[in-house]
Amino acid sequence: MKGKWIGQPIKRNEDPRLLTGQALYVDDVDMPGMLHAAFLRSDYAHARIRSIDVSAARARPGVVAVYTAEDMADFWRPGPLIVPPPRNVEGIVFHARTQIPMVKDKARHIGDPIAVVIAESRYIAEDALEDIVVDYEPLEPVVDMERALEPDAPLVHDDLDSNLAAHVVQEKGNYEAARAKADVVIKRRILVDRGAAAALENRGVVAHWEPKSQQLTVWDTTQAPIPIRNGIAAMLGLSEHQVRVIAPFIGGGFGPKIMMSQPEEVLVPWAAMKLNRPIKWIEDRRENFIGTTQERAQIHDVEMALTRDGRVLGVRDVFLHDTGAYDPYGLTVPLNTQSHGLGAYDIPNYYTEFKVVFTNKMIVTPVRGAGRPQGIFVIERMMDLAAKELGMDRAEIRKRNLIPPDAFPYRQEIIDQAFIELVYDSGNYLPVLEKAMAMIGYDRFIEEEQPRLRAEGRHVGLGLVTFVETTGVGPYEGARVSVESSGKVSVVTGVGTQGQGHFTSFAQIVADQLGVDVRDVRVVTGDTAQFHWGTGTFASRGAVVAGNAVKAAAAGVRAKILKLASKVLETPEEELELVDGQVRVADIPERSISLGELAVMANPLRGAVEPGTKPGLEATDYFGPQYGATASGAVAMIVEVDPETMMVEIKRFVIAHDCGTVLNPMIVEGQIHGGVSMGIGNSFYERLVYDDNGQLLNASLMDYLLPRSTDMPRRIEIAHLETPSPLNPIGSKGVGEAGAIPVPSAFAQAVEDALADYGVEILETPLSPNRLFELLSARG
Amino acid sequence: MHTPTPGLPEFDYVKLTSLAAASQFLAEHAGEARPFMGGTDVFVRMRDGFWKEKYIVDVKGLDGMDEITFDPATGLTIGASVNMNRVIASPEVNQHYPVLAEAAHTVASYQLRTRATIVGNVCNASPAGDTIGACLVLNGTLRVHGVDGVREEPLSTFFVGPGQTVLKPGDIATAVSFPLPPEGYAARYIKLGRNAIGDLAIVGVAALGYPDSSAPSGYRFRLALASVAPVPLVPTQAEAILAEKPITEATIAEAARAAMDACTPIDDVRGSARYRKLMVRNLTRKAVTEVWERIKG
Amino acid sequence: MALHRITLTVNGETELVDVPSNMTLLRMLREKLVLTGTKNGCSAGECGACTVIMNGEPVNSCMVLAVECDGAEITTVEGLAHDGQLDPVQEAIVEQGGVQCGFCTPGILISSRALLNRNPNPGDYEIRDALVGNLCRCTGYLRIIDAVKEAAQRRSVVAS
Repeated sequence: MKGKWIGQPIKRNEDPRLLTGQALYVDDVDMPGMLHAAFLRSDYAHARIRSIDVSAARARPGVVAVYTAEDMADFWRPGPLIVPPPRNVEGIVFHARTQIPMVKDKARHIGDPIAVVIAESRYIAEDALEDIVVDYEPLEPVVDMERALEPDAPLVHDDLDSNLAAHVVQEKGNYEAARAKADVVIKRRILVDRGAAAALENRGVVAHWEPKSQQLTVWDTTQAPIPIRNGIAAMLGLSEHQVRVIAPFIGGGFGPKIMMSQPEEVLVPWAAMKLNRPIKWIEDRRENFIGTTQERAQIHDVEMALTRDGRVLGVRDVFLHDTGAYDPYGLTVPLNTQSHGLGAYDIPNYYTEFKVVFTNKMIVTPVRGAGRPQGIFVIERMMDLAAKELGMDRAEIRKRNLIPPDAFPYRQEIIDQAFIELVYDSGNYLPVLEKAMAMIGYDRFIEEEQPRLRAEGRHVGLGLVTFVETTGVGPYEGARVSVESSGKVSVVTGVGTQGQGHFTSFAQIVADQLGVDVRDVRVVTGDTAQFHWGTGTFASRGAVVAGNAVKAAAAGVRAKILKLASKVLETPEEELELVDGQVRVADIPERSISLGELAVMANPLRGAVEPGTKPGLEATDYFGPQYGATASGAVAMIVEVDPETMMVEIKRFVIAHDCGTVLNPMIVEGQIHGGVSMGIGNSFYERLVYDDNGQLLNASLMDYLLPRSTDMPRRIEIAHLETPSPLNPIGSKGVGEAGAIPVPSAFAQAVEDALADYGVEILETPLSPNRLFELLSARG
Repeated sequence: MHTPTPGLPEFDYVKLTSLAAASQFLAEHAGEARPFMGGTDVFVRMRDGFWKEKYIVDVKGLDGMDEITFDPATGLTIGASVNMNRVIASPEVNQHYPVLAEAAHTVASYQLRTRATIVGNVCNASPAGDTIGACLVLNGTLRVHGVDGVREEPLSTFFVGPGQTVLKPGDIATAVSFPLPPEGYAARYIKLGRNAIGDLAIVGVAALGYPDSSAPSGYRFRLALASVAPVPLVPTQAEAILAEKPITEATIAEAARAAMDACTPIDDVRGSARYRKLMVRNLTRKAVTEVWERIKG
Repeated sequence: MALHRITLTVNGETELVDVPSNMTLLRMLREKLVLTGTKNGCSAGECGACTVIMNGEPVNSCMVLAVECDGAEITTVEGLAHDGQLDPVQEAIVEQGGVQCGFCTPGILISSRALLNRNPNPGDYEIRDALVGNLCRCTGYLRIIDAVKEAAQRRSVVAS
C-alpha cells in the first residue's frame, strides 16, 4: 500500500524539539518541593539478610524517609507475572517467581534493592546510603547454568526443589525418524552469552500525588505506559482513572523498558503518596548494569540430520536458558528462540526442548532481538558446518532448503510467544538471498578476490546468512484520530515511542487517508490520559499493530468526512476527493470545503445532531492481527582479521530485507542501522562478564564496550524487497529487531572463513580479540 | 563497602594564586588534599568512592604551566596544564616528537582529551597510561614543585607501584620535559584495545630506535610497555638484545620474546594474562620492525 | 561546604551562579540554569551525552567542576541555533535521518560543531574519530557521519 506520503522518506516531525534541547525526558521533569530517591542494592549475588539498620540514614539531615521491605507492610508483594506461560503446550512446566520490590529474606542477584532513601537532594540520598548497615550472610551463589541444575546446587528460590524455572518440549514431525533416514548427522554445542540493552538514557521515574484532586501522575521511561498505569493503580488501590502515566521522550528502550512494575516503578509512586511530595528517581549507569534486565545467555546442544545432497531432514535442539534470579517475563525469550530455530528453511522435522534456569544474576527479559538472534545463530552456524561436512557451497545449501514462495502461509507446528501456532504469513526468500549475494559480489569474492588476498597473506572472510523475524504480534493496539477546527489532525495512541519515528510514520498513514500535509498531523503517544487502551512498543510491533489501528481510525474519520461533505456540497460521496486539507468535488475543484469548516459543522453548538450521528470528525479504532507477520532478510559481510592481534575489521556489510510495505524508508533504514550496530556489539564487543561469585566485572561503559563510530563499517548497504503481509491492511511487517538478529551468525561465519587456514570452528558469540586468540590456541 | 554514585562526594575546591601557596597547602593537609589538573581520573575515582579527599586543589595554569616550548638546544617542555589535544596539534611536537602525539591520540575521546594532560597521565601512574611509554622512551623528566623548591624527577625512577609515584605531599608536577631526541631516530606507540579506538589498553608498546655507533649492533632501542605490569615497564633485556646483536628479523623476534618474558600481566575483562604476553611479543616485534625500517641506513 | 560565586557566559548570556565545590558543570547547567538539553548518560566521561563547548573546545560537562568555569564561555545545544536559524549540523542531521531517540543528539551536535570549527572539511575518518566519545545506541552512527559531511558542505554560519 503506497500513497502520497506512505513509502516516502519523510523528515521526522519530532526532530526540531530534539535538536534544540527542548524535548522533555523524564530526568528533565522538575517540580517544586520534589524529593529524590536513591536505592541501596545488594553487594552480594546471593546472601541472606540478617538485619538492616537504617537509623543513621534516617537521622542524616535532609533525609525524609528510608524504607525497607518491612516498612512496606502489605504493599510489599511480588510484581505481576507480565507474560504467563502458554497453556496450549503439552507438558509445560513453569514456576513463576516474579520480581520483588525490595529484598525481604535474601538477595538473589547483585543489585537487588534492599532499601530506598528519599531525601531533599539526590546527593544527600546517596550519602545516606552509606549510613545503612546491612548484616549479610553470604550464601554460595549459582552462576553457571549447568551447575544450577545439579542436584546439590544451592537454590535461588528455597521453596522450589531445584533451580529449574521451566521446561518446554515441542516437536514438529518426528526428528528421530528423520535422523534414522539421514546420510549425515552433525552435533555441536553452541553458546550465546549475556549482553546489555544499554540505552543511552538510564531508567527513571517521577511520581506526583495531588491529594486535592486525588490524582497520581507518573513520568516513566517505559515502553508500555498503559500496563504500567494499570499495575500502579492495582498496587496502590487506586482507580485506573486516578493514575496518569506519561512516557515522554524516551532515550532508547531496546526491551528492558517494557518491564513493568520494577521495584523503582512501584516504590517511587508509593512513597510519593505516602510522603505527599513529588519524588524523582533517575538510575545511574552502574545501576543500569546491575539493576536493569539483560538477555541472551543460552547453551544449545544441537543436532542436524541431512541427506548427502544437503537437504535438511530435521533439527534437534536442546537448550538451557538463563533467566537470572526471577522470571517475570515468562517464556517469551526462549519461545522466540524455538520459533527461530529453523530460520528461513523448510525443515520438516524439529525437536526443540528447553529448560529455563534460575541463577543468581540479573533478571532476563527481552532485549532487541529477544531470543531470535540465538535461534538464528544456532541454525545458521549448523548450516555452515553442514556445508563444510558435505563439501557444499554455503549459499547452495541455503538455497536448497529455503521455504519456497508457494508454501506460504507456512506452518511451523509449534507454539510461539503469542501462544498460537507459529505460521510464517508470507515471504519470498530466495530473491532476498540472491539480492544480498549480488550486492556483495559473492561469486567474484569467492573465486577471485579471496584467493588473491589470501595469496598476499591477508585473512579476509565472507559471511552469508539468512534470517526471519517474527514481528507485529497481538493482542492489539488502538488509536483515536480527530480533525480539529483548525483543520489540523491529532492522533493519539497507547504505545510509547523510544525513537522509532512513530510521530512521523503514523502521521504519514493519516495524511494519506485524509488528504492533509504530514506536517499538519500531530501524534501523541505514551500518555494514558490521552488514550488508555493498548499494550506497548515491543516485538517490532509499533508500525504493524499500532500503525494499522491508526489507519483504521483514520479510515473511520474519512468516512465521516465524506458523509458530511456529501450533504454540504450536495454531491455523492463517490464524486468527492480529499486533497490539501479540503474536500472537493472531483471534477469541480472550486466546489470545496475545508476540513476545519467541516469539523466545526460536525460539532455544532446549537441545533440538532441527526440521530445515529456521533459528533466531531473523530474516530477510534483498534487493530489486532490474526497472528504475527514474519519479515525476512539476508546479510552478507566481509571481514578482515589481523592474525597478530585477532582484531576484526568489517570491510563491507550488506543487508537485503523484506518487511512488507515500507512506511518510511528513512525510518526503516534507521531501524536497520541501529539493529546492525547492536548486532555488531553482540558479535565482538558486548559481553557481560560475571565472575564465580556472581559479581558483574564490567558494570561501566568503560569496561562494557558499546560499538563506537570507529567500529562501524564504512557503509551499510541496504536493499528493500517488499512482500506485503496479507494479515493487515497496510501490508507491513516489523523491522525493529531485524538488524540485531542476523549479525552474530554472519560475523562468526566471516571470521571463521577468514581464519580458514587455522581450522578454527566458532560455536559461540560474542567473540573478542582475546577469545578468538583462545580459540586458535586451543586448536594448537 | 563503598557505593559508587553519580554524584561527587563533598569536598572543598581550593584554588591558590601561586605554586608556593599550593605546595604549602597540600603539605599542610597531607592525606586529605589532592592536586588536580583536568580531573579525568580524579573525579572518576572520587565517584567510585576510592578517593575521599577533603580538599581538591586546582593547580591548573599556575606560574606558566600552560605552555609548550621547544628549544633547539635543550628540547621540549610541556606544561602540566597543556591538554592532550594541544599536544596532538602542536607543530613542535609533530616535527620533533611525533610519538607523543601518536600516543596521546589513543587516549579516550577528543572531549576527554580537552581535559586530559600528559603530566596528569604520568602522575596518575596507571599501568595502562597511554602516554607514559612515549614519555619514557623519550627520556622524559618531570619538573616538580615541592615545599623545598623545584626539582627534577627522571621518569625512569618515578613509578613505584600501581598509581604510586615518588611524589610526596606538597609536590606539584609542573611540566614534563624531553631532551633533544637522538639524531636519526624514529619511534612508535602501538596500542591494542578491544575496539578500534576508545578502550583502555590491553597492551601498549612504545618503541624508539636510533643509530648509535657505540652499540655493537649500530643501533639502540628504548622500549616501554603499558598494561602488562604493576608499573609502566621498560624491558631492559629486550633493549640489550637490540643493542648487542645485528638487527635482523630473528634478533627483533628474540627481543620481542624477551619483552614478553619481562611482563607480569593480570587477567581482566579486556584480556587474559596469556593473551597480553603474546600481544606484547607481537606488537613489540611490529613496533621495532617499523622503527627499524625507518632508521636503518 | 562553602559556595563559590562564579560568573560565566552561557549561550551568550552572562550568568552569576553560586555553586558548591562538588557541583559539576553538567549539574549546574541542568539544575541551576535549567538548560536540560545537555544529557546525563554515565557521569563518567564515557558516553558523551553531556558534551558542551567550553572556551571553544568540547568537554564532557560531567567531568568539569562548575567552579572551574568562572569566566568561561559555554555553548550548549540550546545555543547552537542563532536568531531562529538552525546550525547547519542541526539541519543536516534531520535531512540525513541521524536522530532517533534524541538522547545522544545534543552531545553529537556539539562534538560535530566543535569539529567543524577546527576543521571545516573533515574526512570520513576524522569525523568518526571526533565522535568516538559520543555513544549512540539507536542510529549506528552512519547517518550522523553523513550529516556532518553534509553540514561541512553547507559552509554556513559558524557558531562559536
